[in-house]
Amino acid sequence: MMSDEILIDVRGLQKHFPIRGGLMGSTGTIKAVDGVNIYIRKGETLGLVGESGCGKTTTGRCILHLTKPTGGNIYWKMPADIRSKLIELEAELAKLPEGNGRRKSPEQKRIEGEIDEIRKRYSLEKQPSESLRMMRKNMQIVFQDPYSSLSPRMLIKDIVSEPLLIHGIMKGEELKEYVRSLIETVGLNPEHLYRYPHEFSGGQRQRIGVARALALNPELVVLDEPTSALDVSVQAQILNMLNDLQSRFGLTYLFISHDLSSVRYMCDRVAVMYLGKIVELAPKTELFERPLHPYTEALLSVIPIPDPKAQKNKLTLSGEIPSPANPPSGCRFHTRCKYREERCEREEPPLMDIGGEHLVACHRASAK
Amino acid sequence: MPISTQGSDWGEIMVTESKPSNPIASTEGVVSEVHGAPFDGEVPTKSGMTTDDLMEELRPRIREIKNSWSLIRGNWTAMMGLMLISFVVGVALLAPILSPVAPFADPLRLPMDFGTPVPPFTPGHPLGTGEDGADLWHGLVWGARITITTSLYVVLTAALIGLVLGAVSGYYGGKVDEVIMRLTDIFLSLPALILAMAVAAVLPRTMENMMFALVLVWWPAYARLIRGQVLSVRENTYVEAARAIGAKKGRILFKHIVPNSISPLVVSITMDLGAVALTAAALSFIGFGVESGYAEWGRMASDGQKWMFALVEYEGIKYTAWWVATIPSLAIFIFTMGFTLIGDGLRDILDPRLRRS
Repeated sequence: MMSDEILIDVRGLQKHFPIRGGLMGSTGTIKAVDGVNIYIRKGETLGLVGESGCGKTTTGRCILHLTKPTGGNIYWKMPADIRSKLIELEAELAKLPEGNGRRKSPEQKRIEGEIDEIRKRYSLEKQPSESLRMMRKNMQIVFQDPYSSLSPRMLIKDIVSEPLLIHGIMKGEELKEYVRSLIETVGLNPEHLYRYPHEFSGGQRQRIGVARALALNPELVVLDEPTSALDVSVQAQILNMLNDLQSRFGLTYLFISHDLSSVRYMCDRVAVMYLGKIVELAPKTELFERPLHPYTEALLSVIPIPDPKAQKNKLTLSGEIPSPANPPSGCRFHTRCKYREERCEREEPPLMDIGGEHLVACHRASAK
Repeated sequence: MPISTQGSDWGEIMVTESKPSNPIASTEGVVSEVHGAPFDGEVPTKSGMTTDDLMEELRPRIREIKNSWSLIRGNWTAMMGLMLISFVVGVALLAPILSPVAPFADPLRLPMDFGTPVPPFTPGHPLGTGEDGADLWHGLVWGARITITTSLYVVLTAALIGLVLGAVSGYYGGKVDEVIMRLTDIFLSLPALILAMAVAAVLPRTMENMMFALVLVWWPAYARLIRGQVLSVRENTYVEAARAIGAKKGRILFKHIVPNSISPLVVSITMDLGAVALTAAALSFIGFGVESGYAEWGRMASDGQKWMFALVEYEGIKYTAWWVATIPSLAIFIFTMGFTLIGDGLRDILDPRLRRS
């Protein structure tokens, strides 16, 4: 199912929330997402894990433009050659000496112009809001909480058919037939269409949420912790259904979760986030067998093993996650890292490819 | 599109036909183009609704109504209120039968015989008469019509204005919110009755102007109420879900937020139906409503007050004519009480903690 075509490419994504209050109004920013680079190939599932408050949900919502990113670009279906050209141009621009003051050198202007040209075509940031609204056909989301994600005063039929009505894709008898088949696709009964959300269980509601997301036949679906509000037995059902739907319709998933077991079950590649940044990104087996970042290592060590006799060496992280309003200097993880060195406090490690699509942001790992 | 069982394969076509050069712009027109195609054979009826469809649409709604009704029936305050109000409404509807009017006479003018007040149970005057021999029974029966229409008109108009302004204010926020809320502040800073008096005083003394004055003082409270509701409802995930599927702002506000914000408004409207009647009566009472001799309960009570301690003689017995003011006042009391009880009951019923989740 997976192809080499990159469906969506997130480059330098930033979301800073202003902190309101105090006498002078804004007193700083919460850096919820601070320079995230990820791309998702068509047909693959990318996992995004991290503890609460690390910015993983914000990343997902920024990708869909449910909250407006404060920086960075999200490119949709950019052909590979143009992508490599863009990366080249960006690197060139970074290499150029800073222009003195506000004056820009002609070279700088030329490169910026070319980058702008590409962005105008492929970056979601540069699209007018109306075409962004039309774009929502291609990207959908399944929310975490199935209880508040369905309007209590709408029939299931209306909830599922609303996207199609909004985009003027179908109506009348055709729509009815389509909605009926859609609700069967997610494992519910067409009789259920004429009921209100409060008549369903959590798992059933999540299925309705999935049906709504699939109604427009999107290419990318962001799954924002789709199972964390459900019972364990129901979780497995939903995950299986999602897997099934993916292979049937060739969907691409961004699977946001803090549950590593389900990430392991669902994903092709996994990105680990800490304090608004990606610290490690690798294919699933690689990441689970050879974690290189100490944070990933700690996360993996606490996955429960269903065997009471198994002896495990749990690495517990000491301390709290630092405030994203005032992240630590250098490597953001150094305050809790057991391998901390002096330079970790000074220098921020870049996210480097150490071979085999394994990216990690740690001085120790890249030195190896 | 693999999901569909029919031939509407728009998904596939969408993918293949979209020009790779600029996928964002090109996916737009394509879908609607493709969508004309599958309808070569059977053309569905324009309206597309058969009776069966309609029944299927209505059934869940009827089920909800039945459920609400059973909750109301279990709530004795609401049932009491409902009985009182049904009684008043019944009287109003039957007014032409209960107190027939002479042809071409204005039914809202009390028939008078220009005598002194006579006590209740006098032949021809079941509730006695008031000033100038105005028949109280007639005033009570036809006054019910006036009270009901006034209350409904005032409350529903005010609620509609409040709903739209409050919803817009809460949803759009920013400057719009600021302007609307400061406007409500101005209205709310004056006591409702004083403001209504001021407005009624500068306008000619008609029923319409009194209603206008009441609407003017009533809407800000509704705007405030709805704004608060909208502010809390808009944080629900389903509002975000509506955005995610590409709904426009107006649709999100009026299809997703407003329907989930109005239950407190329903309670408020019910209670205010009584309160408006009371305020209207108060306005009339202090002389800002309609003229004397009109079948309006507040006016009648006002006209009756001077007879409370005056002695009248009827068939050789001296009375203080207490009934002239008391009978219309009792009518106001019953009407207000009825709606307050219903409102109280509804509030209990609409409380989400009591409703099935």
